[in-house]
Amino acid sequence: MGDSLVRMQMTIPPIEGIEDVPVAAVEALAAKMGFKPDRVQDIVQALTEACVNAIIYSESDADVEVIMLARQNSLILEVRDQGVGFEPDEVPAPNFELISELGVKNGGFGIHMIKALVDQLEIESSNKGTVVRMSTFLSKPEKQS
Amino acid sequence: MTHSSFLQDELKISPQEENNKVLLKLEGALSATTVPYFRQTVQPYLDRSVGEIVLDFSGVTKIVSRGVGAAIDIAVQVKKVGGKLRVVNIGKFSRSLYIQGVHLVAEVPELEGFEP
Repeated sequence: MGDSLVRMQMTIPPIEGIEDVPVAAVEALAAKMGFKPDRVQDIVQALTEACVNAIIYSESDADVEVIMLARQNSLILEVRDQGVGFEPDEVPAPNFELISELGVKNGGFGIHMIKALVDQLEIESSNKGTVVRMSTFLSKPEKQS
Repeated sequence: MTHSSFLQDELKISPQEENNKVLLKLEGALSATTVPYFRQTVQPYLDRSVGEIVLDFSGVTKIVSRGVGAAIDIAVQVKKVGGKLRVVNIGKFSRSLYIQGVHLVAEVPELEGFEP
Protein backbone atom coordinates (compact mmCIF):
# COMPACT_ATOMS: atom_id res chain seq x y z
CA MET A 1 0.00 0.00 0.00
CA GLY A 2 2.62 2.58 1.16
CA ASP A 3 2.16 6.00 -0.40
CA SER A 4 -0.12 4.70 -3.13
CA LEU A 5 -2.90 6.88 -4.41
CA VAL A 6 -6.41 6.27 -3.16
CA ARG A 7 -9.03 7.58 -5.57
CA MET A 8 -12.68 8.04 -4.80
CA GLN A 9 -15.40 9.68 -6.80
CA MET A 10 -18.90 10.90 -6.12
CA THR A 11 -21.39 12.19 -8.65
CA ILE A 12 -24.10 14.60 -7.58
CA PRO A 13 -26.93 16.22 -9.51
CA PRO A 14 -26.95 20.04 -9.57
CA ILE A 15 -29.42 20.36 -6.71
CA GLU A 16 -29.01 23.07 -4.09
CA GLY A 17 -27.93 21.69 -0.74
CA ILE A 18 -26.82 18.26 -1.95
CA GLU A 19 -23.15 19.31 -1.68
CA ASP A 20 -23.41 18.39 2.01
CA VAL A 21 -23.10 14.73 1.00
CA PRO A 22 -19.63 14.79 -0.66
CA VAL A 23 -18.53 17.41 1.88
CA ALA A 24 -19.35 15.02 4.74
CA ALA A 25 -17.39 12.24 3.02
CA VAL A 26 -14.38 14.50 2.53
CA GLU A 27 -14.59 15.73 6.12
CA ALA A 28 -14.34 12.11 7.31
CA LEU A 29 -11.52 11.37 4.88
CA ALA A 30 -9.45 14.42 5.84
CA ALA A 31 -9.84 13.66 9.56
CA LYS A 32 -8.84 10.03 8.97
CA MET A 33 -5.76 11.19 7.06
CA GLY A 34 -4.63 13.14 10.12
CA PHE A 35 -5.43 16.72 9.18
CA LYS A 36 -5.95 18.88 12.27
CA PRO A 37 -9.55 20.05 12.91
CA ASP A 38 -8.90 23.61 11.66
CA ARG A 39 -7.39 22.27 8.41
CA VAL A 40 -10.30 19.85 8.04
CA GLN A 41 -12.64 22.84 8.31
CA ASP A 42 -10.60 24.73 5.68
CA ILE A 43 -10.95 21.76 3.32
CA VAL A 44 -14.67 21.43 4.08
CA GLN A 45 -15.24 25.15 3.43
CA ALA A 46 -13.23 25.14 0.20
CA LEU A 47 -15.07 22.09 -1.15
CA THR A 48 -18.44 23.56 -0.14
CA GLU A 49 -17.65 26.74 -2.11
CA ALA A 50 -16.46 24.83 -5.17
CA CYS A 51 -19.54 22.55 -5.18
CA VAL A 52 -21.96 25.43 -4.62
CA ASN A 53 -20.44 27.33 -7.55
CA ALA A 54 -20.69 24.25 -9.77
CA ILE A 55 -24.34 23.75 -8.77
CA ILE A 56 -25.43 27.40 -8.95
CA TYR A 57 -23.92 28.06 -12.37
CA SER A 58 -25.03 24.76 -13.82
CA GLU A 59 -27.36 25.34 -16.76
CA SER A 60 -28.44 21.79 -17.30
CA ASP A 61 -29.15 18.62 -15.36
CA ALA A 62 -25.61 17.43 -16.06
CA ASP A 63 -24.05 15.94 -12.98
CA VAL A 64 -21.24 17.45 -10.96
CA GLU A 65 -18.32 15.16 -10.18
CA VAL A 66 -16.33 15.32 -6.97
CA ILE A 67 -13.05 13.40 -7.16
CA MET A 68 -10.92 12.75 -4.09
CA LEU A 69 -7.28 11.82 -4.53
CA ALA A 70 -5.62 10.90 -1.25
CA ARG A 71 -1.95 10.20 -0.68
CA GLN A 72 -0.06 9.85 2.59
CA ASN A 73 0.81 13.55 2.58
CA SER A 74 -1.79 15.20 0.39
CA LEU A 75 -5.46 15.45 -0.38
CA ILE A 76 -6.43 16.67 -3.82
CA LEU A 77 -10.08 17.44 -4.51
CA GLU A 78 -11.46 18.04 -7.96
CA VAL A 79 -14.89 19.46 -8.67
CA ARG A 80 -15.88 19.01 -12.31
CA ASP A 81 -18.95 20.56 -13.84
CA GLN A 82 -20.34 20.90 -17.35
CA GLY A 83 -21.42 24.51 -17.04
CA VAL A 84 -20.62 27.37 -19.42
CA GLY A 85 -17.28 28.08 -17.74
CA PHE A 86 -15.60 31.36 -16.84
CA GLU A 87 -12.27 33.09 -17.17
CA PRO A 88 -10.48 32.46 -13.84
CA ASP A 89 -7.90 35.20 -14.45
CA GLU A 90 -10.69 37.75 -14.84
CA VAL A 91 -12.13 37.14 -11.38
CA PRO A 92 -11.04 40.23 -9.45
CA ALA A 93 -9.58 40.04 -5.97
CA PRO A 94 -11.96 41.58 -3.45
CA ASN A 95 -11.49 45.30 -2.88
CA PHE A 96 -11.99 45.48 0.87
CA GLU A 97 -11.94 49.28 0.96
CA LEU A 98 -14.80 49.45 -1.50
CA ILE A 99 -16.67 46.62 0.21
CA SER A 100 -16.37 48.39 3.56
CA GLU A 101 -18.05 51.43 2.00
CA LEU A 102 -20.64 49.89 -0.28
CA GLY A 103 -21.25 46.39 1.07
CA VAL A 104 -21.87 43.30 -1.02
CA LYS A 105 -24.98 43.17 -3.17
CA ASN A 106 -24.53 40.00 -5.19
CA GLY A 107 -22.52 36.86 -4.94
CA GLY A 108 -19.60 36.29 -2.70
CA PHE A 109 -15.95 35.70 -3.01
CA GLY A 110 -15.95 31.97 -3.63
CA ILE A 111 -12.71 31.75 -5.60
CA HIS A 112 -10.92 34.15 -3.25
CA MET A 113 -12.04 32.08 -0.29
CA ILE A 114 -10.97 28.76 -1.83
CA LYS A 115 -7.56 30.21 -2.71
CA ALA A 116 -7.04 31.32 0.88
CA LEU A 117 -8.11 28.00 2.37
CA VAL A 118 -6.10 25.45 0.39
CA ASP A 119 -2.39 25.15 -0.38
CA GLN A 120 -2.78 25.02 -4.15
CA LEU A 121 -5.63 25.94 -6.46
CA GLU A 122 -5.81 25.22 -10.18
CA ILE A 123 -8.78 26.07 -12.36
CA GLU A 124 -9.32 24.85 -15.91
CA SER A 125 -12.38 26.30 -17.57
CA SER A 126 -13.89 26.39 -21.04
CA ASN A 127 -17.37 26.66 -22.50
CA LYS A 128 -17.71 22.90 -21.92
CA GLY A 129 -17.15 23.00 -18.20
CA THR A 130 -14.84 23.76 -15.32
CA VAL A 131 -12.43 21.76 -13.21
CA VAL A 132 -11.49 23.22 -9.82
CA ARG A 133 -8.53 21.34 -8.33
CA MET A 134 -7.71 22.03 -4.68
CA SER A 135 -4.63 20.55 -3.02
CA THR A 136 -3.91 20.48 0.69
CA PHE A 137 -0.77 19.00 2.23
CA LEU A 138 -0.36 17.43 5.65
CA SER A 139 3.15 18.86 5.80
CA LYS A 140 4.86 21.17 3.37
CA PRO A 141 6.94 19.22 0.83
CA GLU A 142 10.67 19.58 1.64
CA LYS A 143 12.64 21.70 -0.80
CA GLN A 144 15.18 19.84 -2.90
CA SER A 145 18.74 21.18 -2.45
CA MET B 1 -29.54 23.99 -10.95
CA THR B 2 -32.74 22.54 -9.58
CA HIS B 3 -34.45 22.71 -6.21
CA SER B 4 -35.53 19.83 -4.08
CA SER B 5 -37.70 20.71 -1.12
CA PHE B 6 -36.52 17.84 1.06
CA LEU B 7 -32.81 18.46 0.43
CA GLN B 8 -32.88 22.24 0.58
CA ASP B 9 -30.85 24.11 3.18
CA GLU B 10 -32.86 25.59 6.02
CA LEU B 11 -32.24 28.54 8.30
CA LYS B 12 -34.21 29.55 11.37
CA ILE B 13 -33.73 33.01 12.83
CA SER B 14 -35.00 33.79 16.34
CA PRO B 15 -34.96 37.47 17.31
CA GLN B 16 -34.67 38.78 20.86
CA GLU B 17 -35.10 42.52 21.07
CA GLU B 18 -34.10 44.66 24.00
CA ASN B 19 -34.02 48.48 24.02
CA ASN B 20 -32.06 49.54 20.96
CA LYS B 21 -30.48 46.15 20.30
CA VAL B 22 -31.58 42.94 18.60
CA LEU B 23 -30.02 39.50 19.01
CA LEU B 24 -30.65 37.22 16.05
CA LYS B 25 -29.95 33.59 16.79
CA LEU B 26 -29.22 31.69 13.58
CA GLU B 27 -29.82 27.96 13.33
CA GLY B 28 -29.03 26.05 10.15
CA ALA B 29 -27.27 26.97 6.93
CA LEU B 30 -26.34 30.47 5.81
CA SER B 31 -26.20 29.48 2.17
CA ALA B 32 -27.24 30.71 -1.25
CA THR B 33 -30.70 29.24 -0.63
CA THR B 34 -31.26 30.95 2.71
CA VAL B 35 -29.57 34.33 2.07
CA PRO B 36 -32.79 35.98 0.77
CA TYR B 37 -34.60 34.98 3.99
CA PHE B 38 -31.64 36.19 6.06
CA ARG B 39 -31.63 39.61 4.35
CA GLN B 40 -35.43 39.87 4.55
CA THR B 41 -35.43 39.09 8.29
CA VAL B 42 -32.73 41.65 9.10
CA GLN B 43 -34.11 44.44 6.87
CA PRO B 44 -36.84 45.68 9.29
CA TYR B 45 -34.19 46.31 11.97
CA LEU B 46 -32.12 48.28 9.46
CA ASP B 47 -35.20 50.26 8.43
CA ARG B 48 -35.81 51.13 12.08
CA SER B 49 -32.12 52.08 12.56
CA VAL B 50 -31.65 49.69 15.47
CA GLY B 51 -28.40 50.64 17.23
CA GLU B 52 -26.89 47.18 17.49
CA ILE B 53 -27.55 43.96 15.62
CA VAL B 54 -25.98 40.82 17.07
CA LEU B 55 -25.77 37.67 14.97
CA ASP B 56 -25.33 34.56 17.11
CA PHE B 57 -23.66 31.88 14.97
CA SER B 58 -23.72 29.13 17.62
CA GLY B 59 -26.40 27.21 15.71
CA VAL B 60 -24.95 27.73 12.23
CA THR B 61 -24.11 24.45 10.52
CA LYS B 62 -22.84 25.72 7.16
CA ILE B 63 -21.83 28.99 5.56
CA VAL B 64 -20.97 29.92 2.01
CA SER B 65 -19.32 33.07 0.71
CA ARG B 66 -22.68 34.51 -0.41
CA GLY B 67 -23.95 34.24 3.14
CA VAL B 68 -20.86 35.94 4.51
CA GLY B 69 -21.28 38.62 1.83
CA ALA B 70 -24.82 39.25 3.07
CA ALA B 71 -23.53 39.67 6.64
CA ILE B 72 -20.95 42.18 5.39
CA ASP B 73 -23.66 44.07 3.55
CA ILE B 74 -25.76 44.26 6.69
CA ALA B 75 -22.74 45.50 8.68
CA VAL B 76 -22.16 48.28 6.16
CA GLN B 77 -25.82 49.29 6.16
CA VAL B 78 -26.14 49.37 9.96
CA LYS B 79 -22.92 51.40 10.18
CA LYS B 80 -24.37 53.97 7.78
CA VAL B 81 -27.20 54.68 10.21
CA GLY B 82 -24.83 54.97 13.16
CA GLY B 83 -25.21 51.44 14.50
CA LYS B 84 -23.01 48.38 14.59
CA LEU B 85 -23.08 44.69 13.79
CA ARG B 86 -21.59 42.14 16.16
CA VAL B 87 -21.12 38.49 15.24
CA VAL B 88 -20.71 36.10 18.16
CA ASN B 89 -20.00 32.40 18.64
CA ILE B 90 -18.38 32.08 15.21
CA GLY B 91 -16.45 28.93 16.22
CA LYS B 92 -15.13 26.92 13.29
CA PHE B 93 -16.23 29.59 10.80
CA SER B 94 -13.75 32.18 12.14
CA ARG B 95 -11.23 31.85 9.33
CA SER B 96 -13.86 31.96 6.59
CA LEU B 97 -15.34 35.15 8.05
CA TYR B 98 -11.92 36.79 8.39
CA ILE B 99 -10.88 35.78 4.86
CA GLN B 100 -13.89 37.66 3.54
CA GLY B 101 -13.15 40.69 5.69
CA VAL B 102 -16.08 40.58 8.12
CA HIS B 103 -13.73 41.85 10.86
CA LEU B 104 -13.21 45.04 8.83
CA VAL B 105 -16.86 46.07 9.10
CA ALA B 106 -18.22 44.25 12.15
CA GLU B 107 -17.18 43.29 15.66
CA VAL B 108 -16.08 39.66 15.68
CA PRO B 109 -14.11 37.62 18.21
CA GLU B 110 -10.38 37.98 17.69
CA LEU B 111 -8.68 35.34 15.57
CA GLU B 112 -5.09 34.70 16.58
CA GLY B 113 -2.52 34.33 13.85
CA PHE B 114 -4.78 35.33 10.98
CA GLU B 115 -2.82 36.51 7.97
CA PRO B 116 -4.87 37.97 5.15
